Order: sequence, then structure tokens, then C-alpha cells
Amino acid sequence: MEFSVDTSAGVRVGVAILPERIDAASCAELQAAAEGWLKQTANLVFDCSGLDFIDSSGLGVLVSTLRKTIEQDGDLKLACLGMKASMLMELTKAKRLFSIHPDAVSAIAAFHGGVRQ
Amino acid sequence: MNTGSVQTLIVLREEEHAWLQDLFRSRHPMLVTLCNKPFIEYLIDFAILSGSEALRIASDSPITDLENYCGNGSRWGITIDYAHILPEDDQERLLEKNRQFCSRGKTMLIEKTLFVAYDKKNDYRLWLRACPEGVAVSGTSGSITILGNKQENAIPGPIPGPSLPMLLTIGEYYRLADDTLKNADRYILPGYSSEPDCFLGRNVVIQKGAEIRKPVMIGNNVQISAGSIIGPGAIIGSNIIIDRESVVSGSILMDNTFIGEQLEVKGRIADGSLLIDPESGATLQMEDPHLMSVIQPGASTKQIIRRLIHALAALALLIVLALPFLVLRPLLGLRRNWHTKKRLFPPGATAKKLTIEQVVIRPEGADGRLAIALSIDRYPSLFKVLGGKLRLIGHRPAVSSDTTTISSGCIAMNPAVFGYAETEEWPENERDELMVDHYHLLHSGSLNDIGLLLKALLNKKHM
Amino acid sequence: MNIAESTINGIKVLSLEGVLNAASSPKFKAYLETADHSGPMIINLEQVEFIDSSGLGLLVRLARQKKSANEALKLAKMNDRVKRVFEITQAHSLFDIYDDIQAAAGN
Repeated sequence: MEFSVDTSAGVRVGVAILPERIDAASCAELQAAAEGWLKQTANLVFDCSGLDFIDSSGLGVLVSTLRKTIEQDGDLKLACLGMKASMLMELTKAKRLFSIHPDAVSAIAAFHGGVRQ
Repeated sequence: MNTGSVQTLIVLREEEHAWLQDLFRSRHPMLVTLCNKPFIEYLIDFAILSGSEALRIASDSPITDLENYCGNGSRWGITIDYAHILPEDDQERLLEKNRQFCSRGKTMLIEKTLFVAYDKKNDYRLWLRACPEGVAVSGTSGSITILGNKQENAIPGPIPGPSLPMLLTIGEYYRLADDTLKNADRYILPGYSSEPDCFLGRNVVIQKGAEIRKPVMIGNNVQISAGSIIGPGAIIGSNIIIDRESVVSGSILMDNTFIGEQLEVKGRIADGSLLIDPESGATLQMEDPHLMSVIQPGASTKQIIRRLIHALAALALLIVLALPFLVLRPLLGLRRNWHTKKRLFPPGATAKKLTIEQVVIRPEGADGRLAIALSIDRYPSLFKVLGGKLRLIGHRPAVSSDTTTISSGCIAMNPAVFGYAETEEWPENERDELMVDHYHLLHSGSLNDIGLLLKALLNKKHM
Repeated sequence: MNIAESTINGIKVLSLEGVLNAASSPKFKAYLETADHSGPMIINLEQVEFIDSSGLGLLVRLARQKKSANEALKLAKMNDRVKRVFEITQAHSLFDIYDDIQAAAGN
């Protein structure tokens, strides 16, 4: 998973590009990677443009990562959420927990000031 | 010859309703429900309202499940029968093929139509009598043509006819369902209704604390758990469980769907484990059975007995062939005449797939020929019969191709070690084989299966 | 099984009667092989009580022969039982099926 730190918004924002599929088999990998990213910054953006399928265990990792960022006064924002992922997040009501942006740039910009919106 | 009787000829062509078939694979498009009523029933209703005594369904594709559902029509008090046409038949050919049926009087020919918007309060007998010969109603997706009508002039004034609403996308289906529920008094809809916008089926359990908001329609055998909110604008099919604290509004749940707890289904269509957004047409095949899944009816005793007999016969074969297998297998391996091929079955399906490993033995040398004669190539697969994953005899996926087009559910559900087609001499290609497989899958019982198995073992056409 | 031959509109009509299964299909096969049966043909299935997969195989072969010779083979007056076998086996897609012999003969 690609990860980079962007400082264009005046704060350190970690941008990760999610893989094509996050399910029970692959979510542990994301979980471990997210632990590492959180050590660098609590402001995260997950770019979901490549994400085609996510199941409830994958969703669980997103929600727990979100919780950890908030505990550290940061946030996890989602960018480029596809239709399928969006449908699952609406079904499980997880969508309303996240701030969702059309692309990574606007998600990064939303961190301006470092306040959770 | 023209006795004044009226009959309806419904023409179904597979390609016309392909969009619906693609979404709801498990049933014939005419059996997809709109407000818990299969499309075919709206057509039957309309045929009856317009005075038809007989109805024929002519199709270019298999309609076994439609036939099983409609039967001979006695349920509706109309005679229903079935005919076959070819995809390339034009209207003239079609009428020629059904000449005897059509020659009894006036014929109402319904083509490319899933749904007729009628109003049960109108007199469509009068309408039909006033219709001149030719196309009476045409919509973007279908038409009603009247044939053999000697126009009677005595009818004064315009008589309102039916209409054929646009129905070519899932979004249109969604809006039509909503519209039908709102105009429920025009139709004959299933369920008990004490108020015009609330329908309840049989055996509906609504637990304490669940809330039902109108307009709403609920089918048969439905369980709604505590804390759930159903409606407004919910069409709940039959055999449905909605677990606690879930919300279903502005949505359609097709038959046999389970909705897990604390979910929110808004503006969606759900069918088993498939979730559809009607506006964009996007679909999501759920892989979490605790969120959404198909409620499957349990296996019948007959099926269990059949499975048991298949397993016992497989065990017998495993014992009898153990020695030849142990001798021949290393020999064949050594001479590189033993090849295995893995494939997924059924091809193209999204849900449950089965990995099937097939063995091809090259018929070289005495060992190769003997191994084929003894069906040693099937030996490893026999273990899967014990576990119930494969049938002993049924449809054997062709070794040569991965492209079998499986159009019928019964074939897809019954992959086997030996094929029924192997009991016959005549099949020349895969299509012929499918024909035999289909025949026996529907005609054969447990005992027949054993007889056919012996026939397949002894029939060495494939050698 | 009985086979009766007649002609309508210059087209040969074979009317089958009885059971068309593994036991009786050799008779039909022999019948087809003994005489010259070229030209368009109609098979009247009205009196067929039962057809199984090998009987079906015979008709499929005949259809294939006729097709390669570019001659028409039409089936007529199928009763419900026979129709059902054609349907579940999806053999119907290989044949032109008429409910009336006259119509099949183009009258």
C-alpha cells in the first residue's frame, strides 16, 4: 500500500492508497500498516479510488482506525469512495462517521487548521 | 370458425428481458415480482379482464419454472398452455406456428411486455371489442396487437385502454413498483389490506417495538424483529427476516432475503445477498452473511436420501477400484499420461463456486486403456461425493471447455463425477450432452441413478 | 411404436404413435434409413405418449441431417407431455414447432 505524507495544508497529512480489495483475508495487513502510519501522523486520508470491494471486516478496520485518529486529535477522511464501498457504508451506517471527499486533494485541504470537521 | 371467443398469446423472447435476467438470475424475468406479484400475473389479470378464455405463453427460451408456477391456469380460471418458438421467428411465423390456437376467435397478442398498467374498474371487454385489427397499444418496450377482430361499430365513445409503461431499467422498475403501490386500488395485489396503502401477508410476525409506516406492503412468512422501522415506501417480499433495529424504507426486498441487525436500507433493492442501487444501477454482492444473505429452504427428505445413495455408491466404487487405482496411478504418472485440470464451477457465477479437478488420461498403452475402461480418471473425484460436494451422476462439466453456457439453475446446482450424457451413444456435442443431463436431472430418481451409473460405467463410447 | 406416412401439400408427414424411447427408437431409426426420406418433412407428434432422451436424440440427429441438407424439418401438434420434455432438455431451440399440421405445411 502506497503511503506518503503531505504538508500542503499546513499540517502533516498521511495519504494512503487503499488496495482493490479489503476483506477478512487482507484486512490484517491494512490494520498493521495503519498502526505504522498512525505513529507518523494522526491526520489520515484513505484514497479509495482503487478500492472495488470491502466487506464488514475491512469496514471494521476503517472504523477502528478512525477511532484511533480521533483519540489522537486527528481524523481519517475518505476520498474517491466508489459506489460499492459507498453502498456498504450506507447499509451499515458507517458512512456518517466519516468525512468523505471527492478526491485526495480536497480531503487534504480539509485538514487546513488541523481541526476535525 | 370465428366464434367470438377471445384468447391471449403472450410472446416471450429471452433477449427482451435480458436486463432483468442479469439482475435476478435465480428466476425467470416474468416471475420477478412487482409489489409481491410476479409480472406474469399482471398479464394474466389483463387477459382475464379483457374476456380471454385461453392464454398461451410462447417462448424461445426455457420456461420450466414459469410453467410450474402458472400450471394450467385453473388458479385464475383461465386455460393456460405453452408453446415454443425460435428467436428468429417474425410475427407472421409466430402466428403460423400457433395457428390452431389463434383460429378460435379474436386473439390479443402481447409482445415484449412485462407489465400492463390496467385499472380493474374498467371494462376491457368493451375496449377489445372496439379495437380495430392491428396494433392497439404500443409502448417503448412492448405492444398489444388485436387479430381476427371484425370490428363492431355499435360502441359509442372512446373507451380507456391499458397502457404499457416504460420498463427497461432497474430504475424504471423501482419507480413502477412505487407507483403501483400508490395506485393499489387499480390492481389486484396480494395480501390483506384494510387500508389502501397497507398490505399484509400471511404469517407475519412483528415483534414488540418494531414500527410499520405506511405505505407499506409485506409478503408471507416475514419476521420483523424488535426495534426495526419498516416503511414508508417499503415492499417486503416473502420469506424474509429483518433483524433487530434495522431500518427499511423506500426499498424493495425481494423474496428469501435476510437483513442483519442495525442496518439501514434506504432507496435500495435487495435480493438475497445482492444489493442494488436503482438510480445508478450499481450492484453489490454481499459476502458477509451476517449483513445480508439468501434464506434457503432446507433440503427435502428425498434430496437427503438421494445424496446418501450417491455417497454409498461412491463408497462402493472407491473400495472396488482401490486396487486398480493404486496400481495404475503411479504407472500413468510415470509415463506422463495422467493430467489434471482445475476449474471453477459454475463458470461465470458470482456466488458459491466449487473447484472441480478433472483428470484426463491419455489412452496410450495397455495401462492407459485399462484405466479409462475402469474409470480410474474419476477416482479422485469420488471423495467429493462422500462429502456431498459432487453428485455421483448428474451433469458432468465438459473437460474440454470452460465456456459452457449454463442457462438453467438445476444444471448449475448439480455438478457430478459421471455425466448422464455418458449413458447415451448419440450426443455429439456439449449441447446434446446438456440435453440428456437435463432430461435425467428432472426424470431420474435415486434408483434410476444407480442404473444409469452402471450404464455410464459400461458405455465406453468415450473410450 | 407405429409410424404412418402421408403427404400434405407435397410435404411428407410422418405421424408417430406410441412411445419413443430407447426400446422403440431403433425401429424409427431403421424406418428412416430404409427409404429415401429427402425433402422437407413434418413429424406429427400428436399421438406420441412418451419420449425419452434417446428418442429425443433421434429427432436431434434427424434435425441435424435435414439442416445440413438444407431441408426443412417441422414438428407439429406436440402434446403437453412431449412439450415438457422438449422444454426441460432445451431441445425446443433446435426445432420449428407448429400447433397445426396445415400451417406447418404452409397451407
